Amino acid sequence: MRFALPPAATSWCLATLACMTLAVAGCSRHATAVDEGNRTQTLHFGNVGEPSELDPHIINAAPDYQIITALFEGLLNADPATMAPRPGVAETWDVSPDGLTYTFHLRTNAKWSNGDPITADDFLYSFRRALSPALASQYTFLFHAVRGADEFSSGKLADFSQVGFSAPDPRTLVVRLARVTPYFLGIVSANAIWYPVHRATIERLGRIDQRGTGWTRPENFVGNGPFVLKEWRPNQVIVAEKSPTYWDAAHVSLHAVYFHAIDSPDTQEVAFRSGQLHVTTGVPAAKATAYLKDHSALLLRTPILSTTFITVNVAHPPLNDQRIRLALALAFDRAQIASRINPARMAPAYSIVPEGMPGYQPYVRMKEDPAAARALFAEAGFPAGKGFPTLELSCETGASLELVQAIQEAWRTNLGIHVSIARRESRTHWETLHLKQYDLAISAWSADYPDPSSFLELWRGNGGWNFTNWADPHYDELLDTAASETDPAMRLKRLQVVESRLTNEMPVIPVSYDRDVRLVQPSVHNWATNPLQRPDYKAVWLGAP
Amino acid sequence: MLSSSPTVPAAAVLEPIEKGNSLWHDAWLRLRKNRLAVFGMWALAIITVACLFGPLVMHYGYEDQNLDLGASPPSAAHWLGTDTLGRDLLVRLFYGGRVSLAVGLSATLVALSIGVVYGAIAGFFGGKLDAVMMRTVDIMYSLPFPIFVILLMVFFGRNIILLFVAIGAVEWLTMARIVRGQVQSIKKMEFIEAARSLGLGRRRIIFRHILPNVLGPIIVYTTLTIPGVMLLEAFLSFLGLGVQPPMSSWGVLIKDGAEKMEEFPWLLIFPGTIFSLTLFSLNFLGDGLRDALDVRSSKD
Repeated sequence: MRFALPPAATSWCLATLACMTLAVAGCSRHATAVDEGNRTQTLHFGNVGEPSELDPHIINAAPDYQIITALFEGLLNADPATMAPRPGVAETWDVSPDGLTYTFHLRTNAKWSNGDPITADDFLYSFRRALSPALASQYTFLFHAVRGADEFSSGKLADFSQVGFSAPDPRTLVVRLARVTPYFLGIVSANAIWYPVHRATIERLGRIDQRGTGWTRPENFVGNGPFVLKEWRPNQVIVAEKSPTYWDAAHVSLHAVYFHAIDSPDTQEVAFRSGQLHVTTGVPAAKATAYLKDHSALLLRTPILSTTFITVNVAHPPLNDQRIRLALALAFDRAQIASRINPARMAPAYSIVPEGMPGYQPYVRMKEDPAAARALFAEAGFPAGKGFPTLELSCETGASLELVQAIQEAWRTNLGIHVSIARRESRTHWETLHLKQYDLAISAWSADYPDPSSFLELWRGNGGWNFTNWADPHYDELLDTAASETDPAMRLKRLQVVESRLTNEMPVIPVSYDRDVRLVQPSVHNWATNPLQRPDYKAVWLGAP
Repeated sequence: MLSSSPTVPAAAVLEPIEKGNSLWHDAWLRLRKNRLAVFGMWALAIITVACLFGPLVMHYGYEDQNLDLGASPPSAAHWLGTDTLGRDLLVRLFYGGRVSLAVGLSATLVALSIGVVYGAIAGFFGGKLDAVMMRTVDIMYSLPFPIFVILLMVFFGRNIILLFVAIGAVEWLTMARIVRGQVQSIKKMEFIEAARSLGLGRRRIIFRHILPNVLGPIIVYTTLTIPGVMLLEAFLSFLGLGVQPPMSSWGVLIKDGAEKMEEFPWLLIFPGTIFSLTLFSLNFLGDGLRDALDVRSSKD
């Protein structure tokens, strides 16, 4: 596929060239991976890079999540479209009338890839592992709702039997919660830290809470998902083949999935065009616009529960002044920026909680107004930006440099301030945030479960992901009040109050709601990206468009 | 100043029989006859003047955006078009040229001064000193060279002047090797023997009699170093260690353009053309200079 081939292509030399290209293309036609894959039901997936790990309790980066749903299955699965919980290893489940006890009934035919049956004890073992202080998983907060889980993971409680998990028989798993959590099943169905791991394999290769034992290497790997790890060539490809022992193997159409590690979206796009990939992750901004115009059928855009925002370090004056933060938020035109920089991916955001959160209406009161922003600056002692220090706006090297520059320029023209841009390699960038050694940083968050609290809980005063130095007792109090609310509708209303507090204080400045943008070959059927970006490979099949 | 031809025996310098043209004058005459070299000189001069004074007569600044316009092809208002943020490409080319030319010239100058002196000393003295000096160069060669620059940048902080020095500080290695090799072959020639027998000091022999004879390779390599340095600057800018956005350099413009060449070809065509033109001009000029300065070429 080409873009904008000039009409002048009729001259003979170009025609010759075209013939040659066709000849070359004709030769390689037989060899494209996509054609071959369509024949053998092998999906070629362009992953954003090399996964850091394939251990469901340790993974933390986007490329890891694209693979883990193929290799493991939790108690529940999330519906590809609605995110509603669907049966996984648990065939049915009951909730006690007080909403505090969940009982999962495991299916009898659930098996590990080595043929062992999956029992409730496997889950107990896995949860104990995931919560072990020595394993130091970054996502133990997703067990927060479970009675005693926080105490166990922080080391205050040594006896795992006091945590709210129990297995009265091998087919029944009971979870007791610390308090009513309406979105509990959403957490369970969407997060890898709730996945089971194979006890015998882990123990053969190391201790329960030992990292990097190599149990996820292809030769040792035992999983319970629709696919099983066959090959791992670092920085090249990870091959997952259909698992014959999977309980629902009859409904798995794909024979294998190849996860190609390709960092650059440009390279992915080229690979897609030359028939090397069925599905890409992301599309370069400029190309997405072209696809949108000419080949929209290949471009799949899904709204996801993700927001891009600017994290403000309120410990660095003058950012400690709420008026300054507010002025920074009011001084750039989100709609214009989104439509110019990446219309396929970005939608203007005026709240931190993205649109599309089931049952929730984001708190949107903010209105961009450069004049009001200038007035706020003058009030705070910086008329026309005079005397304002040069702050640094940090971003990852992979972030859109255009977005950063557009904001930089809007602040310059509207507020008269100069902000320098610091691009850092991803790992260093996050380290800078963790150490709180930054002024302003472009950041993004995707929900872990379909509930506003997945965003709002981040900015608790003592939250592990709160990089703002902003600790507001009133905010924490509002969060607690909302959490203890038993009526689901009322709870969401209270969460809106929580969000209003955040929007007024502005320790984080919303920039855009994000969409998942990817290219999908017409031969791929049933591909669905759910709003949590957990791909479901089970239903996918390849065939004539 | 180097004013005498080293091929003329030193005795003749002391007592001139006829008033000859100086090396530089001869070289200049020869250079002027080389059309490509003259073209290169003019092109470089025009590009440099445009980059220095162009921004003064433009209506736009390098950071002025026009988001509503976005990327637009060349037009009456924007002669070379605009980039995706609606910034005038011509102005950004001028500013980028300032950075790229400055980095290219000054880093090369740093590399030149270190490399030539180092190589000449190692080559002339030979023996143990040479072995030690050249092994040091070998060791520095073995350091992955972008990483070395990055280390320097991280250590000294982000600063465009330091960027020049840092790049120069790693670019001199090849220069040192070339000069050393040349010096080794020249120091065995008769005129050096003659200079020595006349009792000239080592410093005078190196800088007055040997170096002018190595000028050819030095100049050619210099003209090759400048583009290399410009490209390295683009690479560092990409890593966030070079020029900081919204400032531009040719390398940055070309990198941006290459990403969008299918949609907005002018973003690559214009910076690419100017960059290539500069590199060609440098090479033509370098070639011309080598021929012109070759003291062994016949004098007619």
